[in-house]
Amino acid sequence: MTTTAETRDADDVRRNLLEFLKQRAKAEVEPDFDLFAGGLVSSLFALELVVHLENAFGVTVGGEDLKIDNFRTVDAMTALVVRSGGARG
Amino acid sequence: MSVGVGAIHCVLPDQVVDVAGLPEVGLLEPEAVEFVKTCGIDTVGVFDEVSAGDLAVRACRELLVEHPVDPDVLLMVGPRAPDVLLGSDVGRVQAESGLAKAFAFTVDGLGCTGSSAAWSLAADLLAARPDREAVLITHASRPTGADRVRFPVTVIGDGAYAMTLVRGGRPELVAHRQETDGTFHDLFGVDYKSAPWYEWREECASPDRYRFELALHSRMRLSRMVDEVLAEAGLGKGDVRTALMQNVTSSAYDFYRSLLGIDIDPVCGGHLSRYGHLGAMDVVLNLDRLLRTGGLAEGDHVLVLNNSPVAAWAVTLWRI
Repeated sequence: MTTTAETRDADDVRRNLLEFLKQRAKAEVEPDFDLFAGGLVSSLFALELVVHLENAFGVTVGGEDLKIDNFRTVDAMTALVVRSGGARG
Repeated sequence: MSVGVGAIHCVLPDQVVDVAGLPEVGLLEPEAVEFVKTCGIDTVGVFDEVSAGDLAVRACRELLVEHPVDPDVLLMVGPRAPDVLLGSDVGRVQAESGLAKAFAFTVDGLGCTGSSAAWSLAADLLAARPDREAVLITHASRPTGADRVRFPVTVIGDGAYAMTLVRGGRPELVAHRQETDGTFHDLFGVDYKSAPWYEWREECASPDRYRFELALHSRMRLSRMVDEVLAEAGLGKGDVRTALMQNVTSSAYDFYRSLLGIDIDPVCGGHLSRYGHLGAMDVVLNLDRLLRTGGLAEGDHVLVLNNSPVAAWAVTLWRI
């Protein structure tokens, strides 16, 4: 089923990101796991992560949003997507 | 009248040393040792007992012997650490290279991107005054202190270049964009005031910020800047014959290939493996080697990307 910003909520975003990390980084993590402290994110993977956020949730990440703390955990990325209008809170 | 390259001369050591055998490698943390093993740099060129100023003077003198010119301006792209404080490194290069007519000054604070900013400034200086005929640019790469490993960035090699920009030169500088973001000004630093030079250690305030925030800024800015220079020239990515960038790590080439959809020319990786990172010299060395051996045809377009953790970004389009 295709979801949109109107039908998608924060739990949908969280589940999507956890599955993306499982597929791409071969890592099953908790939503509050620090991806950087855990050594899961290289420059190239960071790029993949941002492109995934933009494509999957129809948001544009730029300017002030390009802060590491917005991407440190799945919970932080979920909050960014909600703030950017990609899902309901 | 267009502006382009008059001549390029690069100075590199005859001898290279294995990166794995550098004295500091045995003292590094395991993560940094792993970086050294996987960064794509096998050897670095090393000059014994020379300063950045020595190398810059040599590069300028040798260029002037091969391609005599009396430049109106001498631009020195500042070294990582100046040879003198309060004095003038570029003044020394002017004096010892016999460039009495030139107005000499330094382009600084841009890291690797300094060479791109210098050739853009040179083109602007020539365009601004029809009586100016040539601008000479020089830079030398030496480590900041005794250490050559800059975890998590690269490994430093030695070298120097001199190049001229002249009216009607080839390749022609077709379009250029450059940007800086001062919020990264303190991402890297050396506390030089409280230790002798051989104890200087580069400190990265946040390797995560380097790997992530700076990488994402580079993604955003370089993508747009490439589009802008190509649009200014009325070209698309398919019209670009090849692309060059600075030599930092082999994974950086993958990053920018993925980012821009443009292959980075293999000449860059070859230099990275043999000479390591030569700072602002990288793009000039890569361009020089490409012009000499790349099988380019008149009218081909070459993109040169350049960025630094300072942070600064530049994209230049050259026409052969």
